[in-house]
Amino acid sequence: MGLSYALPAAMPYGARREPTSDDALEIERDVSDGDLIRRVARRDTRAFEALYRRYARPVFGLALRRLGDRMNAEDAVQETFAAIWRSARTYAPDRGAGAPWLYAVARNAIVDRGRSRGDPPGEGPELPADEPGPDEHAEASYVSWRVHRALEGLPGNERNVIELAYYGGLSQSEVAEFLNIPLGTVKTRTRAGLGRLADLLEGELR
Amino acid sequence: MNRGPDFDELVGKDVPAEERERLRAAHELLVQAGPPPELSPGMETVPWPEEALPPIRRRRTPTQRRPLVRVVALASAALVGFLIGHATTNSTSIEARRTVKLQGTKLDRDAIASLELGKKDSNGNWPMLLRVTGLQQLPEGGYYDLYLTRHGKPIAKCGVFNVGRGVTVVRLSASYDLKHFDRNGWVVTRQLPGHHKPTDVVLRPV
Repeated sequence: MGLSYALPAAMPYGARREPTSDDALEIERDVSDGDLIRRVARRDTRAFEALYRRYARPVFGLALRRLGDRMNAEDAVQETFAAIWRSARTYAPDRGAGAPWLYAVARNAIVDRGRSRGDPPGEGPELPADEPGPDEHAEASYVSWRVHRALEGLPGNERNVIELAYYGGLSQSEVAEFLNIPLGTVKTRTRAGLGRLADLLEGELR
Repeated sequence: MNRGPDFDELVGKDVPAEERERLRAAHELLVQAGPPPELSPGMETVPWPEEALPPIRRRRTPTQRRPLVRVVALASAALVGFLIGHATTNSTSIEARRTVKLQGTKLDRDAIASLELGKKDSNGNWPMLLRVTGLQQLPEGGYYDLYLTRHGKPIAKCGVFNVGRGVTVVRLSASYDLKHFDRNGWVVTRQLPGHHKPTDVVLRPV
């Protein structure tokens, strides 16, 4: 897609490492966010990559909702992960799980990015009385954050059928036809994917 | 808010009540969260903090980037942003008059796609909805083109897009008289950075 963005000074243009193999990342699938953050604090680059794979889309989604344009949102993603690398040592597992800590880091980075372009401080623009208020917006943002994070935790074949059904506008039989798999397989994967999401989102389901 | 797919169709009737409620809660969160954003290909690369990089791999800082490269990258970003915005702000369905199935060539055997062709509007534009999965994510500066073919050769470009992980849904438009082209004659070509001719066909009709 050829995108480029203004990288913060801590991230040189074109900075790359050899990507970790899919198999290696698969091994990290069952590791908790908190454990990954603690490993990042010890400068474990594989843990950092695994966190990025889990959270790039949730952070980007949050930044898009707050900032409203892709270029600034992409900058905010970069700044969020720079902040995670810098401040992972401050994460205290006894004070909570990893996801809320990451959410707070992302929110701060996004607010900073908004300030740097002159946005007024606060949660967002003033809203008409019949629109959801800042609290409702914040709650909706956090739910989206958790759901998008959970989607990243699904095996690819389950995520595909879920995304096609929920966000691709296809019926079950159309998903089967599209993926060229039996309808029964679509139903099995959908149910398994929903079950796995329910496990991953246990906190939100209570 | 989008109501999402029919829950009963998704999971069937033969699920125990307790499990059914758990799945329904996950279903409602998926609907509430809405679709996760597509990441730009540039964001698929982990933004390594400088201190995590081996010294030999360090590159120029942003201020040292060549102006022309930056202008081209920004122009690409604007184009892709428009396409993504166009795709995501519209419905993920059209009233399809014809559906063309596309299959990956030897260059990308895992790729599949469906192209729905809508009704021609009063200005002579044919709306199209392309759903694709399995295409490789291209390096920065690369992109995919959808072409109409004549006698099997890509002749007329119908749009440019890129893909993320999972399923990508893109709205495109053809402004040609389709009778001058092959029936169901659409192919997708891959344009790697620095290449500007439709040589690498990665998807062709089944």
